[in-house]
Amino acid sequence: MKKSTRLIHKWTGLLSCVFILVVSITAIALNHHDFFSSFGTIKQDNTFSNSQIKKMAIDPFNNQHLIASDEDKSLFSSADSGKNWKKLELFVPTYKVNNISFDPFKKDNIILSLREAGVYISDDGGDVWDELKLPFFPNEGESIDNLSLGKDNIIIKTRFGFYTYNTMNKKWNKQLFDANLKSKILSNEEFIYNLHTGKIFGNTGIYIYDFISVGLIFLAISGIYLSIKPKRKFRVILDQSKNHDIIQLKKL
Amino acid sequence: MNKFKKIFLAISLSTCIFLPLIASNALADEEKGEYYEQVYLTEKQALTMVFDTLKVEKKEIILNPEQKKIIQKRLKRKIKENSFFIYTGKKNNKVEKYAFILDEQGKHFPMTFIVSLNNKASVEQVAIMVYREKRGDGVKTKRFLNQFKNKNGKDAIEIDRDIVHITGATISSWSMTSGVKKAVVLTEELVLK
Repeated sequence: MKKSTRLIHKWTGLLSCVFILVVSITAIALNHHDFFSSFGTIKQDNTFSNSQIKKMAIDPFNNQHLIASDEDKSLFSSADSGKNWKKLELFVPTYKVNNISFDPFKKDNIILSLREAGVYISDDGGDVWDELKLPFFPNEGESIDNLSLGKDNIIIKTRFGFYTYNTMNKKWNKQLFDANLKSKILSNEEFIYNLHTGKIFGNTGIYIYDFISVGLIFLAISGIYLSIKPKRKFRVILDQSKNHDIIQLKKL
Repeated sequence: MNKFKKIFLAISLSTCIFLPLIASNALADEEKGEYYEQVYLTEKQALTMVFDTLKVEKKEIILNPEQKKIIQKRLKRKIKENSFFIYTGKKNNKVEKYAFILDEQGKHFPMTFIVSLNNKASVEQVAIMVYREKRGDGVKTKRFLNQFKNKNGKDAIEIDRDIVHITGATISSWSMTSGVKKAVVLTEELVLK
């Protein structure tokens, strides 16, 4: 092999190793973000501006009253059409807010859904909340995709079904999607994400991917080490007395 | 390729393909939530742990609607209970400690725990008594429970504010935190007020 080819191979290999390191570490971090966040310091951010709004609802009984979220970790309330915002506290962390609804038929009734936690209802404008008992577990793979509020019912859509809650008799009606439909519901993007993180095989898949990622990290680090560490030098000694085909390699 | 290499490759490939499928099916069953009671402390053991040599008295406090409203507002959530049992630890007829044995909903089933507080409503000890699920009992670790020490009504006692949750036991961490806050608020509103 030519020296230049070897050199190209070495540096491509090194770059690939760095790439594998980045991909493997970020994949583990993506699957276990709560583990990494538990090492961080707790930040209390009580500031909010209109540019951060990702979900918002307007009170049908008071046009000035808004509730908004940056979707990630915070929920804010404004009494003056968004000029000033006040942090709204729940008894659970407001991660991944995916729906805020004001009940158009009952004053001060707010319904909030947190994608991977559940549905929370307040009947006093957001001071006291109550958790709505769901017939599924959003934190176990069946997260809440959408929530809609009707006069006497709440409709929740997840990737596995359509759930209707009757607020009068407090009963759930389930319409689970059939297996064929379930696979169609996964968009290409979701499929690739699930394949990338191992979620396609459930939680066990995540751990298997973690294991493989750790293996790749080890291979990448050892590969970089081997390519950087100085090579052993050998001296070729031709044994003149015997056969010239016998070559002795002596470590210098 | 020698025989050993072929066998190794075949085993590796089948493991990569079939293990996740088998395991994910097994896990799907587990995720339905199996009742698995683990008793770490009985009531007697828990009370001995928190009160030691103090004389223990048990009293039921029934909430009136006004008290319930105030407590709910401070906890930011509705509570189903209309009464609570409070344990008082006395020495020479002087109250030294209070304790509550509370239930909070975990991921699938409720968990029972004890919270002891000093006579100024600051948390002294928190311990899990009964955990009823297979997974998530990481909340019983000292690393998590020690975070509640000395917390009082002036503290937020909330995940991501002054309490760090346990990985793999997120819901249980939230529930425990809510429960400890409930004990602090109950002591302040029902005993010290």
